[in-house]
Amino acid sequence: MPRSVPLYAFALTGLLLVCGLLSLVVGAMSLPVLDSLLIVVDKAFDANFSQLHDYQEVVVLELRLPRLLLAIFVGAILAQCGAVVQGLFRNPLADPGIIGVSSGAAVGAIVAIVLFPSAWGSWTIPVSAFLGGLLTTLLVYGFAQSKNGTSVLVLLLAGVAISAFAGAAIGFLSYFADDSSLRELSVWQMGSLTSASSANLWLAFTTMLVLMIAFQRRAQALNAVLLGESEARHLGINVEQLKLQMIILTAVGVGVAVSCAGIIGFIGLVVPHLVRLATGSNHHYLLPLSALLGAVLLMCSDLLARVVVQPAELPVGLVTVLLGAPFFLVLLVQQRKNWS
Amino acid sequence: MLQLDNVTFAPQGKRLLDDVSIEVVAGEVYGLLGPNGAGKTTLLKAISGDIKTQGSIRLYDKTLSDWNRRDLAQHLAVLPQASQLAFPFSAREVVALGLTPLSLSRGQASRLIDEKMQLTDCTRFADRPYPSLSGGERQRVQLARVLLQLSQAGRAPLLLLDEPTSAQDLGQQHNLLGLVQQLARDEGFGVIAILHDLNQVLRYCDNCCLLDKGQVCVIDTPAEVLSDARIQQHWQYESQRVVLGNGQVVLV
Repeated sequence: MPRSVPLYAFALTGLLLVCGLLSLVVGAMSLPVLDSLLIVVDKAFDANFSQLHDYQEVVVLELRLPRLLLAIFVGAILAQCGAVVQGLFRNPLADPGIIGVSSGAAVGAIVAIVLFPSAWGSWTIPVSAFLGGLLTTLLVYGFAQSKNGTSVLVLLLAGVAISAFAGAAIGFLSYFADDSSLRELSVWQMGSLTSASSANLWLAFTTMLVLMIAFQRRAQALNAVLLGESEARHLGINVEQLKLQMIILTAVGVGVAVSCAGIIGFIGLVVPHLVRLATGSNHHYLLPLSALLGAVLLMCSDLLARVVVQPAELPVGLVTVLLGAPFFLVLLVQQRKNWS
Repeated sequence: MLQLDNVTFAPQGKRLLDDVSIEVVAGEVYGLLGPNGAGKTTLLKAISGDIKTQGSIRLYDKTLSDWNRRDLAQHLAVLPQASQLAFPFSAREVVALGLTPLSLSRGQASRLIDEKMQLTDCTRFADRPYPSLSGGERQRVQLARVLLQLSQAGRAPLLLLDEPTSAQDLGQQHNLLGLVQQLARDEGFGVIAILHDLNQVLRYCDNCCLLDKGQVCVIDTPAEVLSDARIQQHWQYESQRVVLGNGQVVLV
């Protein structure tokens, strides 16, 4: 293991704690640091140390803490899925959106918002988004199948085509939507962590945990695939099975992330590249460090989204794209010598 | 160790391999020769399991599909012509990919990686990024990876080499083939190599198979196979022979 790996892991964990604390106390209502921490301890251990007023307690426990946790879980899911998709397709520009899962989830959500807004209560949009993402991924995967296995090129191009088709479907549905659906739809497309509830927190947490374990178990296989598919096969890897597993897990991960927080771009694309620049491409370290950095970045983006135009707030998906896109261009300019 | 019987590969009716039968024994370097398009690489792909063929391919009396994937990877490895990496690894990390089918403790793995890198003379650039290495250095790193992959084989392993010297200078070519020959002699490796340089075939191979248009033309020792008439017939080249002082024959 390179010596820098524990160092970065330590630094990122520290950053996660500091930013987490900041997210609890900074915002339209500033709160005392120690008491804000103590109220979380009180809640966890049923104690009574904090001196916060009831309304302050509600702000910490009902608003900021769930949002902060959702940012951690969704950030970790998106960043890990990004690392896996880039490795599996051996393509530095791949992100989970490229296999069509994000746009499929968007279509699912918009169908729900416009056509049956309250079919399953508050679960309508998340469930439709998740189903849309999963179905699109399976469709794209089906297109790429032939008797010689899965063609990565066809998979990526089918993803582009289906995403374009999904874009048209979204436009079509928006055209027929009424004003209130249209507003909900556009806010949802920009990504937001305001819908954090105990149900979707548990869903995101479980998904993050399952993905972390499943991806880590296949880290060596993902490393082998970087050499090429036939080389990986010669190393004893069942490449077709690995591709199917990883694509389904990514679809589930991104589907859950999109259903909990809408479309949040650039975390899955940029974070794995940042980690690779720091510690190299070995998936044994790339995956956990990407999860940590993804969590930190989404949390910081959400903090910015809350404080930049307070008392109003920006959609967090807008902040990640505003930060991520220029950053990615800088990265491209730095790396163009290596990639040309 | 390896037995091919009536192997045929005919995608869309085009017979790329036509009724090929060969046998490779442990401890020999076996050359696959022939002009371009003869079916050498296709045959190597058939043996490595990359393509499905008719006929039977048996390694230690067991057809390839009956082998467990990990067991097969421990007994059969392919040194590719040129390997690109999608994202940069260090040379040592590339060698460590050879651990994929093995179950070793961390200490054992690290010791074996060092040993194989030393054997292939890669130690001094172990921490350099793989993409920054020259073609010859990359090939040695890949050889170290493949030797690591085969290091726990229960029986003598089979190593497949697809034009292993294509990116190397003269000295590196002979070092690599010398090392491979030594592995066959001392450790009983079976080696199948596609070689374009017929002088390398004469010098390093124990037996060879001449292929043309997907069919086996002749199987014998290199000296017997590479007659002037055959070189003229299959490569359309009029060769001449020079006998060196030590009795070694060189084709020019």
